[in-house]
Amino acid sequence: MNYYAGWLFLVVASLLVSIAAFIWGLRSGQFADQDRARYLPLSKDLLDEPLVAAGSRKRKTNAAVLLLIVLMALAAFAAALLMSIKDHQIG
Amino acid sequence: MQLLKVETNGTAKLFLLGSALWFVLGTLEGLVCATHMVAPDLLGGISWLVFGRIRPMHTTTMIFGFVGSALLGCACYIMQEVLRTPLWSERLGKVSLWVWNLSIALGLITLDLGYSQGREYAEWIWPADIGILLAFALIFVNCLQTAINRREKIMYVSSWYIFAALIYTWLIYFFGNAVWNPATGAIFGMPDAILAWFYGHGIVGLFLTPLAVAIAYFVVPRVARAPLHSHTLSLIGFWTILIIYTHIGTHHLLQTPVPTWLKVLAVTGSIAMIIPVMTVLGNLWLTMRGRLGFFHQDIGGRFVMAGLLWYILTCLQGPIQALPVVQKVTHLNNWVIAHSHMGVFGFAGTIALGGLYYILPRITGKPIYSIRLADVQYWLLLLGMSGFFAVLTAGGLVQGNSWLNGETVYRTVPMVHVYFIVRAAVGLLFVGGALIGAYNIVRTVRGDQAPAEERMRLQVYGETP
Repeated sequence: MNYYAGWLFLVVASLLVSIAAFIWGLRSGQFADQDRARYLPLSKDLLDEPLVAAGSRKRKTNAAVLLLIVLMALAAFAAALLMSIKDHQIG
Repeated sequence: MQLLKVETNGTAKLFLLGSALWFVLGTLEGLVCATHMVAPDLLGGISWLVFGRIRPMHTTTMIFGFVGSALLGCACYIMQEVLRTPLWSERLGKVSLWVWNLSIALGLITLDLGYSQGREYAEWIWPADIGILLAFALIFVNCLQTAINRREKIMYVSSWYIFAALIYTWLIYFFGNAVWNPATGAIFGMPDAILAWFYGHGIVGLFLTPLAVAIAYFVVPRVARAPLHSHTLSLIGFWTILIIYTHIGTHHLLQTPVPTWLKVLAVTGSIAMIIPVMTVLGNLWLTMRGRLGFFHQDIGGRFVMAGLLWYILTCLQGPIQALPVVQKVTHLNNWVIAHSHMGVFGFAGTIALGGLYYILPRITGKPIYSIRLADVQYWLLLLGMSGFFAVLTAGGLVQGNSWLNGETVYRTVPMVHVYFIVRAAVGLLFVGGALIGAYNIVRTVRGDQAPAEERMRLQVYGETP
């Protein structure tokens, strides 16, 4: 068990930091007004900035490319799963 | 002193500029590595260009130099915005910036001279490690003081993520590099492997991920011009990632004599990561819903959106490949290289670029030098990342399948050679994207504006906004 002392110390230290932060958050009312917190990234300077949406063609091209990436990745994951299952059955 | 000049957002600006320059170096190093895989003798045995030195230079330049610098630069800006308070000390910020960049430079130069700790992503020697730890500590002090002096009582979720990244990265960097052992930066035996992968996985999951998520939580509501769907949900995601992510690195060592209880902990933790990931993605998706047109138009928003897509895929792939039965096919081959590129570049790097393009004009007070160039960079990098994923994943499956069928490593090399050629070709897209980005960002920081875009802006708005 001594072998893992460094690793365990790190896990315990990380956990203690998390617990301390959570208790501080709870006591200082960080989790109280969650509805107002939703608006915090927004600021007044945004009102001066023009709000422009992309045209239909741009939107469709972009969305189609992103969809292709997803399909490619899903095909790759499926291939790995199938190969694993096949190997498992043979094994 | 000019190097430590105090100016509003000067720290964030220089972190972002540094990121763009490190990106060029990182991709060039990657291209040299890819060339080695295609033609190992091409560069002739020049010691400072051998694969064993350039490869760790590439990974650390990309993680710390490019992605890390951009994330830290964005973090310095975001803290001020969400806490409604200027950075506590711009001078301290500049000190941390130079310590950070000099440590990276020192780590890379000594690696090139052949001095390495020989542990993945922790190759830098002791003095560079101390510099990185010092930089994290200085940035933490600056952010903490900013938070103590904040005018906004509630800490927005981005600031929670930023603090978590700074604290946890310091801890995992200290332990992962075994800093108490300067001669080797390591301990010994299996515990060292466990510690090394605790660090290796943590550097992505506890350094890059929280900072990238912090940026996404800042940029998405702003581009959508809508409040975050649920702050409570965002905090649930935050606390669960802290509980789960800290002990799953051992899933890199499933085929080794690690204690079974640790493997079980790592695999179940990896699958449980679906919870925090889904809270982030669900929350951001519900914030973006019905407003996607703004994201397709805004270059920063577009990068962040693409980065989130890579995040979904990375986090879907992670639990799948953490299953021991799947690892028999996917481990120790190019499949893993595809996954790490998707995590570090596709997810964290792309969101970092999104944050950079969103924040930089707000720091300089002037628009991006050329939106068109940024657009070209976006497509080059998206195409590059997709091509990289496709070719490395396919090559990895070929390798995995061959080994399962009893082929020797020697016989699989010709099978994957064609994939390495395509990989090197795709690498050119990354180098091109990095060069275009660096040019665009340097010109933006100088306050320049591409003539054609300035004319268009004048026609549309009547003046340069």
